[in-house]
Amino acid sequence: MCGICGMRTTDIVPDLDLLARMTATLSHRGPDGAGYYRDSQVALGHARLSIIDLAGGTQPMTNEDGTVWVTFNGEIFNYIELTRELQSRGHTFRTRSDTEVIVHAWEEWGLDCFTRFNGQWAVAIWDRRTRDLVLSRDPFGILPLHFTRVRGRVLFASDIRSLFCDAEVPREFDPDGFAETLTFWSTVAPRTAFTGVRQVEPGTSVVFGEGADYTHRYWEHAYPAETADTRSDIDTSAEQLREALIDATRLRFERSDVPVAAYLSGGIDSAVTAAIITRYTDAQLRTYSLRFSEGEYDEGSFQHAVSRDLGTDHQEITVSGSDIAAVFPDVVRHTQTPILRAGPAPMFLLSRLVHDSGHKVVVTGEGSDEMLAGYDIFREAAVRRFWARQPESAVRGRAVELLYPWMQRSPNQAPAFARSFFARNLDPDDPLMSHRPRWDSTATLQGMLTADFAARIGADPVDGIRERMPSASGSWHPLSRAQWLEHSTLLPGYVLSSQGDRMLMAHSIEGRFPFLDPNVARIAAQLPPRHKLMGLDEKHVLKRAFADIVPSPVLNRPKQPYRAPDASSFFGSGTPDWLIDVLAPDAVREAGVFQPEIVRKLVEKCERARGRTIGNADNMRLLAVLSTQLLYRDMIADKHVAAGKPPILVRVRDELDRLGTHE
Amino acid sequence: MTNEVSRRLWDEIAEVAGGRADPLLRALEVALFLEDSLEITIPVEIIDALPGEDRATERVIEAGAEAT
Repeated sequence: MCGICGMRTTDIVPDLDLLARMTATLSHRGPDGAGYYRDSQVALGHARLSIIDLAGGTQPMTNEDGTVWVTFNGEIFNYIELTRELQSRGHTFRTRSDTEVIVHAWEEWGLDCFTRFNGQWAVAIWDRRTRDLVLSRDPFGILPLHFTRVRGRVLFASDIRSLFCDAEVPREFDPDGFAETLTFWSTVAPRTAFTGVRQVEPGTSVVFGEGADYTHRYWEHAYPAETADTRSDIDTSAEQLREALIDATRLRFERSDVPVAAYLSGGIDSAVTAAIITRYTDAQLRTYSLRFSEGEYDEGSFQHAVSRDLGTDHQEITVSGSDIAAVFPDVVRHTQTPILRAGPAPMFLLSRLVHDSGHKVVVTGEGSDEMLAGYDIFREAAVRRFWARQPESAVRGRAVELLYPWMQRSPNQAPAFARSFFARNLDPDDPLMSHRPRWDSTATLQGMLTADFAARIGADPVDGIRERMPSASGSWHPLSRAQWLEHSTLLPGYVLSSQGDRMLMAHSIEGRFPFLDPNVARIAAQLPPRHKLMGLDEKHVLKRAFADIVPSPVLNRPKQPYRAPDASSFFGSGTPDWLIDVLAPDAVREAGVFQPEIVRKLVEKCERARGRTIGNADNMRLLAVLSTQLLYRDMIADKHVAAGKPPILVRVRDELDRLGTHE
Repeated sequence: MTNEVSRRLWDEIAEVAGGRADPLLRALEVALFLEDSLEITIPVEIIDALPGEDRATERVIEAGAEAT
């Protein structure tokens, strides 16, 4: 992985000093070197984390005649196959890097080249022949790519902070971005939390050309029309999935010039990927795990069971609430967006362990819950659909007791809880029915916004997501629609970013995700919904496919959603000084997002309870306020946001020097 | 349904039904599975009259078969 940045100008020469400062903010993404390309219209910067072709992969990179230039963050895992194909079509390669594949693939196929890549990427391509600057992002949004326009120029970068190096880029919160975050847990691309700062949508390319800018979608999460499919048998589904996942995992483990390790969460997804590596490669696998000092969150016994069974060299870090509080400001500095959970903080500490242990790359299990229906929300939706068929039934509603064991242990509470939460919006014709209870619940957080800020919110974010659903989605199975909603909101906006790439790259670690291989995704989308969610057994087909190599304690355990202690981390054993500063009434008033009086009462409540008996909504409220106030302090109030020593940029090519036309 | 399809579905029903101790909840999960797979709706009179014993699952399967 790496960091990329750059600009396209219309009437002035690209500013090399600005490019150097932008690149400097990306040094955590690419500590192994920095380079640039510049001509009279475009400058491309690159901070490198070298993983493939350590000696020859310097960027920006060009084609045979210098007409196409690329700055690239990510991996094209099928680069060897693509190199052969492009060579057979007459292209000459100077390196053995995956970056050069992009250069020649662009020459050969143009915008269609992205449909041929199996990988994860954020890339900028400058085609001097057509004068098009193209920004593209992988199908799932694994890697970040932001852009903004100011005074006729386009700036782009892996990090928002990098864009703010240009003093003319306004720094202010986007109320619509907050409305989305306080509904879906994250913004939805192309929106971000900052006004005027956009992100390239996953699965698209944005073309900035001589004419109007346009977006080209090359990937859509599509599902087959719903049928009463009773013909597909589960064993065939399991075999298809198994073959694709083995190929995807091997590709991601073997295509690297540095050693690759793996995360073990204690759940089935990372157990599957680790088991494939140990079974189907000769490598002695190093695994890393995250543990919690609070037993409620800890999955150590399952992690050890997998490590022992697979014979991996295992390392772990145990995280306490005070550890989370100590690093939280750094965490938010990297998320660059508000967060409603403390979950990213332990991931930040885990990637630090990996870095300190000398690894640069880890394989992880992210994406499985979205592809194969692993989240509780899918089970909840199935129960609610069952109930919605006959809302008047006295018995159907009891199906909510199937969801969580505690409901059966609390027969007096369960029906009341069910009525108040799961019975909301029981409308089977509503395409958003699966997500309404969660979104409605989270949207109550918008009541904390100041009147001025709330008044600037435009459209209802829920209406926005409904309008973006593909026209064919009306014919999909309800589970497929629910999966599409996860793919479009939480996966790119939170799981892969705030809790994924941003925490990994905070310590220069690359994550690789076999479940997000395009072939795995296509197969998973085509599987009968009942093979993914068999009754209420989540990821049933995955368990079936790998029952022979995944340790049975992990295979048969109920799913435990990943969570970290929230309010108790900040109030459980002393309150950090930074928290008192950013939550002070004057500081809250200055930021202008949340009502100081509501924040004061929330803080008092947390202090009284020492964060222990705080409900779900108040936990989210606290994290939303904390992260927003930190963002305000670090990215809006601090005018030295891009502080840092500019790197020594290696001039890959400066056309202005060649022509003697500048400075 | 052909015999082959019926056999496959029966195998899957057996997997769904095998995971619950409470007889009524087991029957409800099988009903949920059948309705989702076969695009049927089991009549409310049957669902609301399910007994809290092992026969409940049999009753759901019978109703599912009748509905197809």
